[in-house]
Amino acid sequence: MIEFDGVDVHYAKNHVLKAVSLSVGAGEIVALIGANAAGKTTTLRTALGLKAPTAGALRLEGTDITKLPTVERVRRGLVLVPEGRQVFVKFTVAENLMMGGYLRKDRDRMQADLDRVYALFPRLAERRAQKAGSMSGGEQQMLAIARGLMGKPRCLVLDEPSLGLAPILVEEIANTVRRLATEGMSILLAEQNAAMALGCAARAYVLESGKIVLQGNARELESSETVRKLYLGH
Amino acid sequence: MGQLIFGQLLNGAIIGTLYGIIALGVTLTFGITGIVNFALGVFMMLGAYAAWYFTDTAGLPYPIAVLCAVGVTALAGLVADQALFRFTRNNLVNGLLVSIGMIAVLEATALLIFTATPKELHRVMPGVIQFMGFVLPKMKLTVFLVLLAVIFGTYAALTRTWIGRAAYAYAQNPEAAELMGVRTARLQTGVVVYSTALAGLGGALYASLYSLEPTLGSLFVLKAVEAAILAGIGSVIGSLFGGVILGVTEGVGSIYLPLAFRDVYGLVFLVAILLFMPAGLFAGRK
Repeated sequence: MIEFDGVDVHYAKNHVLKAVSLSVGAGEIVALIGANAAGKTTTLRTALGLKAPTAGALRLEGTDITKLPTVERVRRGLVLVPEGRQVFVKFTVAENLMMGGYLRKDRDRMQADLDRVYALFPRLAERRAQKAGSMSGGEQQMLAIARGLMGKPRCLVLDEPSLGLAPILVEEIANTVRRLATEGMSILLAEQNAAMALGCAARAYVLESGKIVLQGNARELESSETVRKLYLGH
Repeated sequence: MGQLIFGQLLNGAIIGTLYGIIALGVTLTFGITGIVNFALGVFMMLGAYAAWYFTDTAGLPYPIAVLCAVGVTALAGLVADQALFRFTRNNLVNGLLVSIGMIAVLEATALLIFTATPKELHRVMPGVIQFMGFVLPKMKLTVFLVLLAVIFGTYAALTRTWIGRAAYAYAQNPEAAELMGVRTARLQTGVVVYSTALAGLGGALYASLYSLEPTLGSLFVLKAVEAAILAGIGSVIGSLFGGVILGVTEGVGSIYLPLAFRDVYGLVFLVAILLFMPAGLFAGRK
């Protein structure tokens, strides 16, 4: 689905991503784990075209998208749920969800999809007329994911969806992610919460100072010495 | 005395809607590009002279001339945006420098072409309406109603259309809007051009009421910025009310207080409001 091929990214003179190669297959959940400032967010921003790589190539379903603007990537079904939710705080829940479908040709007939995401997140249905800025962090995170889903993504990219959430909500989000993948969506999940990410994913990559230092089957990584010590804390 | 006060109220309201239409441009441009476009005053001047040219020299009927003037101003706005403002996005200081430079250049050019001799349109719509013993010039009433319609129309468009939704989303969170697929560069250009077109409309209508001089826009844009701040930056309907409040304060103030200081009354009022409501009268609304 999405593929990074030897991608380098610089912020001014800082070399923040070093020859990152990774791929997410169709209907697959892939986790990208790493500490703060390891380069997870930069990887995802590069995927969406918010940051241009200095070397390497990006492919979406085999097509080179390295030079495509963000809009075109979204149109092709690549959707990012950004770090820190980034919901439109002065919009209601319903208005936020509508913005999620901004690029759709059928954007004036989205009721069925609205009902679908409300079914997925019943709490959003209760608060559909409430301003997003007045909701709790967990609700905002659900809204951010739901807003992403309104764009009918084929590949959903999630940046730290568990950040700052109570364990019960983290579990709820993990369940949602698994459910979306069983419906055929490809998911790239960047997480500091390695336990949650590895629990969802089939495969995982470990990012350290901008380099992929480990990769492989999520179950194997879960039991590997390094990952257990550094990221799982046991 | 009643006629005098009523007359000043009406005058103040009309001038106020003119402040309001420029203030709307100020507010929109600031919300979407992060710069205060003081050059909107010269776009207003451009609209006024264009309307004068299309009626007086080209002989077009006034309503058509107004539309042409708006078109010319929008085109000038597009050129200015692509050549200059595009490079000042979200950079308040650079934007200020560019817009102030543009005022100097365009005012001097207008002076060169149109000279300092005031230009006057032939009476576009003579006659008055008698209303409860008060006399309302038809043209003033028309200008007032057209400007009101445009401001409320803009508000409706911003709240009910996808473009409006995208603009408001962008104002709240530019990157999230981009992630939804909003073409942000195009949106910014669109807003800059729309704001100059509004200023052009204000100028073209102004031309039917008052005589024209190359510097006519500079005072207006200052008042418009005042009105926008008074209302609370970002408020569409607020920019209308901000303008009207300012216009009426000046109009009524100059009955009781020395006329020479009329430009001060609004300012004093603005300071008084900001002391109690630092975010402006309509803060927190669209």
